[in-house]
Amino acid sequence: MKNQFLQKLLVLFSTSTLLVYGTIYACGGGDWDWFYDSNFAPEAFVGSAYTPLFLSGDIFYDGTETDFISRFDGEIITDWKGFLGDKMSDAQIKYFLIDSSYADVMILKSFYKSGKSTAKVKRLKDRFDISDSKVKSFIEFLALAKDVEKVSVFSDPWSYEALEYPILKDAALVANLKKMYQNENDAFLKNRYWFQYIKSLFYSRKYSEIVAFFEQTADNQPKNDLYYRAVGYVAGLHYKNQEYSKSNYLFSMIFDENVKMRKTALYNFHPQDDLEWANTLALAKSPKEKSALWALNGYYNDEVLAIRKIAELDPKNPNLDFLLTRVINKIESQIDTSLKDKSIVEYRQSVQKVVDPETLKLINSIASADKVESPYLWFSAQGYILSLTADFKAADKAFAQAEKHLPENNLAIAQLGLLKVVNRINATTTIKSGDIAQLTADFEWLTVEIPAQKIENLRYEKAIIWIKEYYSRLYKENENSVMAELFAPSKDFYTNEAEIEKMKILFTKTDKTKLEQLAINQYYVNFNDILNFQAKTAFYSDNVADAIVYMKNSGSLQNLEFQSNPFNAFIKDCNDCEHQKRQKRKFSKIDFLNTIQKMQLDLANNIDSHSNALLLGNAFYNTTFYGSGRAFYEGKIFGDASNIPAYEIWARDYITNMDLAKKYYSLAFKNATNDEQRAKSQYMLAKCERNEYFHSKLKNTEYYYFWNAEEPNFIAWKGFKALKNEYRNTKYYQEVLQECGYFKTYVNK
Amino acid sequence: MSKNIRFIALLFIIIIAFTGCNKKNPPTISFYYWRTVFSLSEVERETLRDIDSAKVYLRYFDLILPKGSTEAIPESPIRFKESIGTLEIIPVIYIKNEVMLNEKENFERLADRILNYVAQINKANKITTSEIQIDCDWTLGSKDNFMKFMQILKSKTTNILSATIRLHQIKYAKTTGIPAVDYGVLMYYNMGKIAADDSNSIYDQKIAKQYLDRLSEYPLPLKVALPIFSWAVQIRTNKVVGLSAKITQDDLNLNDFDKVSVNSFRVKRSHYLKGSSLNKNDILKIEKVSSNDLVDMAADLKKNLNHSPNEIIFFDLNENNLKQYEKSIFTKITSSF
Repeated sequence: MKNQFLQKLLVLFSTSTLLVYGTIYACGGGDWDWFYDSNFAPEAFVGSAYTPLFLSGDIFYDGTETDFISRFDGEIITDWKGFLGDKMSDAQIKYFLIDSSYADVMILKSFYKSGKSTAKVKRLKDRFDISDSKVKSFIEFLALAKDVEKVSVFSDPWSYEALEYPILKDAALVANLKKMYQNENDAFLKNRYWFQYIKSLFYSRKYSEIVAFFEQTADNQPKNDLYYRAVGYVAGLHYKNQEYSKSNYLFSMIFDENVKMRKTALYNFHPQDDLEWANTLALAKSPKEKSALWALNGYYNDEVLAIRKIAELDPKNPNLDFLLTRVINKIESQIDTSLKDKSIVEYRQSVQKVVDPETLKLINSIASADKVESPYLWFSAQGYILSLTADFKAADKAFAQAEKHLPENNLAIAQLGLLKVVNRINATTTIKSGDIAQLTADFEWLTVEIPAQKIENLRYEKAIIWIKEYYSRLYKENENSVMAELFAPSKDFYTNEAEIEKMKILFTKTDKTKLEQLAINQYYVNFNDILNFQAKTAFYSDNVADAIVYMKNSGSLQNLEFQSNPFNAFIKDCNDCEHQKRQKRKFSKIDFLNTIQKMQLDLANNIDSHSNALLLGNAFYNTTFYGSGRAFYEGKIFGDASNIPAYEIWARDYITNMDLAKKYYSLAFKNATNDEQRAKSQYMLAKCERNEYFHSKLKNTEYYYFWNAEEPNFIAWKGFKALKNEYRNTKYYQEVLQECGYFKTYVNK
Repeated sequence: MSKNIRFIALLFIIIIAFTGCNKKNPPTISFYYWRTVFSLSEVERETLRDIDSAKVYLRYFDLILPKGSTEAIPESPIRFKESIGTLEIIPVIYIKNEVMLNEKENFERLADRILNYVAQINKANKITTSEIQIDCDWTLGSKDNFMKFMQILKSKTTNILSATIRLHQIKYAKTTGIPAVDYGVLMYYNMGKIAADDSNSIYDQKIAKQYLDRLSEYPLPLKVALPIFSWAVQIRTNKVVGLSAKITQDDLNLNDFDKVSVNSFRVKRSHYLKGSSLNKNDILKIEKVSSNDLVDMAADLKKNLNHSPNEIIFFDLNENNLKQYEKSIFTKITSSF
């Protein structure tokens, strides 16, 4: 949707800057999502004939026009069915009108002319009565119309020739169509020939003749699709002649009268300046025609002004309705509904500011004058705006009025319910003064019942986010941080031990209120997730005993398995390679912690000190971001991502901290009994240093992924120095030299 | 990959080193032509004549992916109201990124179709061309397809193949990739966001400088495209709601506008202007590139390019743009390279 909006801008405003629109696209930002910024669905109030006109980020709410060739097919078939009655089947009529029937039409044409029957004629004769006069008229019409169609319809997008504006060069065909129009007595056929003649003039480039012919004959034509298609030709020709006022006037007429061409008219309506706009208005003959012009003006420009004008001219004009929905949706789009950084009072003030008092006055006066065609819309809109301006009681009254005119469909019923809920919540300033039963019922209705109903077009997603933030703010102002967190999770709630304990108490309490239970149900973590999280933080504090207790109590989460052996470490860090290695034993999280506890015990008792310390170093290494055991920390509270900036700052501190890995690798070094062991310990320490080096360089940069080429990729870490200076003669040294390019470069310097 | 690129770069530097010393001439001047109908106004014709420029990079068509379709098609192909005369034409094809993001596209077929379509346009309008330029702001997501497509296209034509290169593609060449073309055109504009603040999205020297240091490392030979266009950004309640290339600062009379800063104007009453509908209190921000900006650009580029470009292409050939500058600006800019 975002991109298309910008496409609209460029189509409307310019053709000369196309080279750059890729860039504009990329920079569109998040400003265009009207739909998700709304509690007010225009579909609940206004019929589908006006759908394209609803406020959207695209040029039309329901997408751009594409169906240029076939959009009238249905009506054309119906029209001819009316004429032909039962002389031909529906499928036959469709075949002759729409499909590739040219050859058959020509066969019948020559039969009518010569009277000679052929095998092909006979084949057609078997299917329908070819001598019926209506059938004959139909075929004779098609014989001419299909020749016009040869130049008016093309379809190969990769043919440049086909895209050349085609010219109809067959003057006899044009003359013939004119003659048929003049001589035809049947009104239906006469109207068809009238349009075909105009169309043939258009494709013959005889533009001035079209205008003259149209002006002479238009009054005698029925105001059907053909009529407005002809008006379209004339309007386009005026535009070509830079007679913009005439053009805009005719397009406004099409806009108002022909739903199928509404988008075309809207797209082509294009006043250049104020003088032309005044001239256009002067051409409109009736309040209805003037209202259509104002409606278009409102669509492109100022809806409130348009409503004011139309309400004066023609109070029951249907265009008022779509304009009002646009006014409401535009107001909504200007409201910052986030309550994260605002108090309830500040929020209310900021919302009030958005509504222009003049707009409210206008809507009040129109709604209360009781003249409009759609009181349900007008009272609903009035109530909504009153609610935004904090006049909650008046809003209630307006909603009560709307209810009297409520259409009997789920969308309308839910829409009014939604506005009433929003009003009741807007009126609540503190949790103490609020009606908890009502707040609970409203929360359940909006967040549980409404989504379950799956009502098409209802805009409730924004209200769900908003109601949670609103309740969170009410509880925050009541110093109930746990309920505030449940409704709107904060980034760092789980960095505070005391708060975590409070949360656990609420989770385990047996006499929860209904609202507490609803909030818990919709919260992003459950009780086990919290214990699992505590197990991880205990582990990262080297408190494995506590970690085991928390982990054991975290239900099935303790059984989640590592993708590779978390006690293995290699010269190269390659998570995927390690995950692909065959594993003799799969470690679950609880197995992992139990094993660590045993190793720590052995280490304390000086049993296999080097190898236990080395394995512990590996374990703590692998459970950082750099190791192959990210599965250990990944979960709802930590999150899971393949890049560090995607983690919260507090989580980054845990997963990038190499202290524990270094602690155990140092112990491994200290307890080593030979140089091979010492070399390995030093290299592992160098890996830790490397991670710290990269992280310290990158953590404050905007482009996390782009290493500044002027910075060295690596430095002579202590581990490198030791390996080079002390353990040159080990086998491990040679292995590192083979596998680690940094080290090789360092050694060869 | 990097080895090859380094090798190509080295080769190129050697070539430049051997040919560069004889080349004292300033870069030639040419223009992009970006309207959908080819028809030159008297001012445009005169500009080409005065600066002895005979080369126009002509947008032939856009390539789009229609909603719901898996096959790209051309959109708004160029039409000719008049003959190109003696002008040398380089067809430019703007490929929307969506085309390159489409996993279902058959790029072999697409390359054939494009070459065939260019040939059709040439034949219908009696134009002979020997080069094709591709303009696509490819992204990391479309990079692989784009690079593959360019290779296919290159393999199917004997024409010179060139591509527009955006600044971020220079800076992050390793990440964004380098297309298989004979040369690139550095688009030295559209540096920032089109935004409701006081920034200039067309050119900002500070932003430009963040990219310049990588220019000398870029392995493709580069021509340079410089902006001479301007536009009015229409801002309503701090959101960009419109963009008009037709409105220039000269159109903003003080009866209808209050000047709120050097380049921003508040609309006093709702009205229509050159096809834009302006609401009361909208802000129009004029973004343009001054002659001094162009001089700065030339100086910055000269400092950072390994060699002087042999051609400067101005975007775009349009009377409204030409009128904003002294006639001598084009030679002034190219002679400072």
